[in-house]
Amino acid sequence: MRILLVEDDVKTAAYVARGLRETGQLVEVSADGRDGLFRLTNEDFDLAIVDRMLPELDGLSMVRSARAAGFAAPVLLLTAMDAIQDRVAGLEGGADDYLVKPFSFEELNARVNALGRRPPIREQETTLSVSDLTLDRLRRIVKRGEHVVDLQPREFRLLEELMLNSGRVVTRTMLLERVWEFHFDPGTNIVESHISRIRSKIDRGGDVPLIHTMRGAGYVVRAN
Amino acid sequence: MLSVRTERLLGSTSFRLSAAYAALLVIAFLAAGAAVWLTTKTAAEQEVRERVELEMRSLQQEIRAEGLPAAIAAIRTRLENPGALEYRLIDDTGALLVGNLTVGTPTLGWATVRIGDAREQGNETEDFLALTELIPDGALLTIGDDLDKAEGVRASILNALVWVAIPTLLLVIGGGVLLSLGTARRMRTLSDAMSQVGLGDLAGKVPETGGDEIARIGQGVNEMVARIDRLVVNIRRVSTDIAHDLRTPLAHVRQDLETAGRSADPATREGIRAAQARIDEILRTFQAILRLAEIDAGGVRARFVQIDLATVVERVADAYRAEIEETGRTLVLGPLTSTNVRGDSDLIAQALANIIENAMRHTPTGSSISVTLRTSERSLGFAVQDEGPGIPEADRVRVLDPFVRLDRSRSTPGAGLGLSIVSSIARLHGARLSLEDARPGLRVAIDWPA
Repeated sequence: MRILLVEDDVKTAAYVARGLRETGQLVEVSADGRDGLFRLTNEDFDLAIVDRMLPELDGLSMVRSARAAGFAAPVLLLTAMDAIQDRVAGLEGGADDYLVKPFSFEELNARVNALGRRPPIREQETTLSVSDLTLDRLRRIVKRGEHVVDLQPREFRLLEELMLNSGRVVTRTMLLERVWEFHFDPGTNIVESHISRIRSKIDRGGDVPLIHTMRGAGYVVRAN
Repeated sequence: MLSVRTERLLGSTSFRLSAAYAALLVIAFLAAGAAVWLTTKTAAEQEVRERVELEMRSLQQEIRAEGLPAAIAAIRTRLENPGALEYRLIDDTGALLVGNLTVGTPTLGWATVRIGDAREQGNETEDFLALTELIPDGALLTIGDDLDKAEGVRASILNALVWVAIPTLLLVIGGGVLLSLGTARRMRTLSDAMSQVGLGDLAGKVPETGGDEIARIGQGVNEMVARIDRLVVNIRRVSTDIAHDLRTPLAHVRQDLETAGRSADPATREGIRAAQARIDEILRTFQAILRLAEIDAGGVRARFVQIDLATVVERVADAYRAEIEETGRTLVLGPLTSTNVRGDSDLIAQALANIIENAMRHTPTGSSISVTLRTSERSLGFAVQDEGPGIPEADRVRVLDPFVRLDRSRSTPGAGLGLSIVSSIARLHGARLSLEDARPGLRVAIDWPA
């Protein structure tokens, strides 16, 4: 993927760019909003990571202008952590996801990967499956092999989110946002508790575990 | 039963003042009445004495010049005139020679005689002032006059006084009440504003109009509040600035650690992870400080929409159910009746989440935590009740201040910002946060005015 990172803090920009390059992405860095906008509208990028606070042209206006000029690829907005309003304004202004600074690289990487799979293919699928685990999104039925797994509504949503991203890491914060709409850090083990409940329901007897914990990053559903 | 309003009016300083003035006025009227009564009484008596004495001189002269029979004839003639004085002439044996003063055994000199009014055949009595003198031949002549004639004048004056007094009193009391109402209202505005300040709302202003001492108190209060506000803002700004400025270097440290961790051996990586966790903890505290500042700034209010507390309560309670049950506690969720308020659902969710986390942190395993919606005529909101040790009454206000942690909470994680955030969120919504003794346990509630 060709990614444009628009970030004025040199150290953070270097850190993010190096990390993403190590995962095989092509990263270009721009240090101000005006330059970023110019490059987004004149070059070809698959994804933009834009800091909310930028010199010359702030990130939000930049995204809005880029969208108006026809830039269609996903945008991940990096916001300051004290900005409740920035998040809403960012999503309304054309960003696809946001990440509160400071963040761990795993968090950023998980979100970049989730955005990078757009246009979403799996989101239109009605049945998701990983190994012998199937999730019927219309009838809201989960089966492990032939065995029907009884899940609470929110457990179903959580498993659905993981399976939509099967093979990719979904972070704790992403799950809090998407399953419970928690846009704050609850500082407890909400996600962990639910994951362990789901695990106990889908991995029975000698089943191969399907939900894997990626330490410091999040969870991934995959066959091995 | 007096209504609160009436009670408050009766208790107001200005009402007390006007009541005191009215009382003084009543005393003044009574004194004036007494003075009128005494003066007229003395004047009337004096007049009667003069008339009686004059008549006595003239009759004595007549007796000396023309003898007793002529005097008797003269008295008879006088008695025929209406409005005449009263006479009584008795000889030395006590037999009545002439006169209509029939009662009493007069002694020499002045005396007051009370007699039934024989002429009217009624039971009325009349007071007479009578002068008795010895005349030659050893007979006694008594001349008297009715004192009550003066009484009529006196009564009219007193009457007039009463008629002036009653409207004056009514005016004073009525005017006093009206003035009290005005002043009482202004004083109430002032005291309400001051208790708001006491509760931590430094944005409220007291009216300064009127140019009188109340207005000056208002100005004083406003200046004081403005100064307190500046100080509080400064303190807040310092902590916000620290959080803001240290965030970037801390983020850099975190990034460096992360980078270093990738090439490190497993043992070092463990140490690095621990360091990262500590940095995350600091960053979380900073995040809470900055979040607090943002909530207090009030800008979020522009995004307020109608939300159903039931859906927020369901979502948050559901999120915590697994963890609450995992730690051996029970979650009791009350009926989810639709409860609409204006607000920001993210922030309300955060407030409820903080309250529930607080309950989990401070209650023993095996206890239950109940989350309920509550609606009354005056308010609607939600309450979280636990079976923990509660918060002593004296600490209930203090625990809402940032960084305040009660001694027994030192061993549990957290920076003491959770309830401050809850408090700020409630204030932002114009809702009331209350910490109540649930006997046993603590009940934390947020109520919106209905």
